[in-house]
Amino acid sequence: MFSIAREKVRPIITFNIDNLKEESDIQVSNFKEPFLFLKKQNQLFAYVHLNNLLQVNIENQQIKLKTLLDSSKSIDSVCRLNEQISLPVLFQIIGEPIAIVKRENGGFDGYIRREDVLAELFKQENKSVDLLKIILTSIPMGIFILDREKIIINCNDSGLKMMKSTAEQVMNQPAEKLFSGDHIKNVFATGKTILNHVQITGDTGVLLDYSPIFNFKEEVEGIVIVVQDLPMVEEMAMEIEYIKNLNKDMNAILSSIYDEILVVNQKGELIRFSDNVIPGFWKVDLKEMIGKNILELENQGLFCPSVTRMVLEKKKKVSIVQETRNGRKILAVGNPVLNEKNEIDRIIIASRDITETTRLKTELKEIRKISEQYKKELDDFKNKDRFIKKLIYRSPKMERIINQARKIADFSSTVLLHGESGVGKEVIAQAIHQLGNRSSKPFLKLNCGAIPENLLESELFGYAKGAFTGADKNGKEGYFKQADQGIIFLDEIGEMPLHLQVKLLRVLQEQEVIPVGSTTPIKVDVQIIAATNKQLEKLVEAGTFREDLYYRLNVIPLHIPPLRERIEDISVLAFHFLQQLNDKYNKSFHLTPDAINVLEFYPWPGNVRELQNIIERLIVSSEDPAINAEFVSQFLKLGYDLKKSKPVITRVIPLQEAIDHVEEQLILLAMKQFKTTTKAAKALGVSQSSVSRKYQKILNDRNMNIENTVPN
Amino acid sequence: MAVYFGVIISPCQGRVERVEITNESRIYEWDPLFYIKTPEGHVEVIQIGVSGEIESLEVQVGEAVIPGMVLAYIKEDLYVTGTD
Ligand SMILES: Nc1ncnc2c1ncn2[C@@H]1O[C@H](COP(=O)(O)OP(=O)(O)OP(=O)(O)O)[C@@H](O)[C@H]1O
Ligand SMILES: [Mg+2]
Repeated sequence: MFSIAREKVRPIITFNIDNLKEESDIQVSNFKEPFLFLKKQNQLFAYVHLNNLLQVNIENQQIKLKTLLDSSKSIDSVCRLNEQISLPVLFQIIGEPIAIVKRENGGFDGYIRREDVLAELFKQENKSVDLLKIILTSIPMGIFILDREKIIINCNDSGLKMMKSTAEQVMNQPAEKLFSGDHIKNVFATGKTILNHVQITGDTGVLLDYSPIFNFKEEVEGIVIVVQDLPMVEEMAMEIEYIKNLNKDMNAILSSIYDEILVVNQKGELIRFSDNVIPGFWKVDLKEMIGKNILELENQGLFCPSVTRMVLEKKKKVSIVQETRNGRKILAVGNPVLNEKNEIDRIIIASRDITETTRLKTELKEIRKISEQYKKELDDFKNKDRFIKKLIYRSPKMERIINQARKIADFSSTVLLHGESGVGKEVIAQAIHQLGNRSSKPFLKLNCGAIPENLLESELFGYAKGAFTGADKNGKEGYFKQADQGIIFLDEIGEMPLHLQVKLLRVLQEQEVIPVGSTTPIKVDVQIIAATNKQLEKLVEAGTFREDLYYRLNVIPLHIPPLRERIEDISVLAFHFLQQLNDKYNKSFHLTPDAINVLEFYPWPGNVRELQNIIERLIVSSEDPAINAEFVSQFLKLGYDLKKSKPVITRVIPLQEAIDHVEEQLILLAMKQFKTTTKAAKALGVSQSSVSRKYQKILNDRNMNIENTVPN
Repeated sequence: MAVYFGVIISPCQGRVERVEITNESRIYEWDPLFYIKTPEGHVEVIQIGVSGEIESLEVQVGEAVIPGMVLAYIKEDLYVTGTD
């Protein structure tokens, strides 16, 4: 606390502007004080530093009111002093060239110039008043003062604390050790202030302002660096680190599932892409595409078709299989991410190279086909010596086919049998043979898919003497010759190589064959029955089967429906196969009615052959002579159909019977799964008493049945 | 093990006229699955030589499709039924 020297207080000269216009001229030479105070409606509102003003208008002592007002400063920022001055007030004085001195009664005593106050301060006896120190320590921000050499020459405690440093460590040290050397250089070079620079190092996070200190020649002489604490920066830094790690993990996980991931915004602009991308998929470097529109790539013909465009149009997930320039197949799945308004916000495009999968799949199918072929041959072989093949059927569909076969048999027409694997094409071909007037003549079967291509020709048409090395010297009769007056059954006709198709066509047209190595045709009289499980029309379309041959063969087409389309046959076939096996092994296995139901429900993708195999497996595995539904279910891949789909009734039966049947199955199933009637009832959505009652009844009925069927 | 899946893709541009399958339905080879009307006005029947179960149906009637677009994902049967 110190007081103002009375003689330094100067009078306040006021000038009333109430009745003046902006253009009015004012004679300023009348005012003897360097500061003039302006009054409006009897209120001080501004002051003008006349010395400054007069320097500019030196030769003219007259100035316009407008000029005066323009160079005036509001009185509000000028501090008002009592005669006793406390230290905080000093901060107020520093900002303005003058301060107004108040009288005790509230009026103004006069004004005092800043330099006078400060001079007064330095004159005080109390030597401990170091103004700069006071200012520096009082500000709740860190302050560092740099000299021209960029050395820290002063700082305050808050600054040291924020920078986690001590005075010994920083004082008289190059500022670069703590702050950005570039920014410091920059301020020296440009004289401009750099604001809000975030500096995060290890565990400190601060906000820095770099301001120049000018000398009178407007040169930068030093820098003030103002430091502010960034609250939470430490936690934020930790969190950022954590997110970075998380991001890395996510990337690794995603890249093991997808080969490439792109993120595109609602306009189709690329925002982000994964570390790994599919080589050769894009004709441009994705880095250059950031911020650019992917749809444009499509327009430029660089890439098509665009999943992005489809997702934008459809506003839903879209998958597209695309092929790269180097022939790789890419499955791209575009998933829209919607905002709260249900508009597309982003699109995530995840792509996978499925070339390998596709190739493996094809290979796997190929292998399966071959092994299936072997299995079939084995089955046929097994069945051949065991039983004479008997044709079993009950369905009207099969009845119609057999009637047709009977007619065909008498006319020796060419027949084309078509149907899925295992439906009985071969048995029908045999039936045609048996039923017709060629039954006492040969029936020869040739599997066009199983014989190597180079042998197929000589097998079919025979070869002449000495036709090729290693061949029988005397030549060989072909199948056609051997089957003269009988039937040739060409199985898997779709597999016949194209060049043999021409020869076969000739046999069909001319009724003659030319053996390999010969030029002399031999007349033959054979009926041809061809079979295929392929759609020959498709092969014709694809160019692997001759159209003319197709029409030649397709004189009488017979389509054998799959077993699932003639459910009536399932039970008779099952009984038939069971009977054969019982006879063979001298057993008495039988199928319970519910077992038959399950068999009838199964879709039999492998048709009659599968049914035959299953029956054999059932009796080989069953301990009990009565084979029931539960036992049968274990052998069928029922999973997908029974679990997911609703029960399907495939023939008309009395409604009540159907309902009773379904109810019984449901109750047994639920009891098996949940063990107690309470839980079963809950799962079925009925009362416990009703489950209990019905379950009891089912069990009673069953026991009665078993008693009735117990063999004597 | 890699996810084993198959896709049914559109061979052409056009609009879906008819869909013969639903989610989880079973398909047999060469069943007609989709009918797609091309801009030229003729209808392409989409069939495949594969049996299996539809895992997810990706398009609806009236939707626009382009070549390569996935119409459905299918889980192929692991045993050979008839052909191919
Ligand atoms: N209606 C039937 N009555 C009795 N057995 C049948 C009947 N249909 C098919 N089978 C038996 O099922 C098995 C498969 O029949 P077949 O070999 O005729 O089928 P396919 O249609 O020629 O099959 P693929 O196309 O796989 O050669 C044979 O063991 C056959 O005896
Ligand atoms: Mg066969």
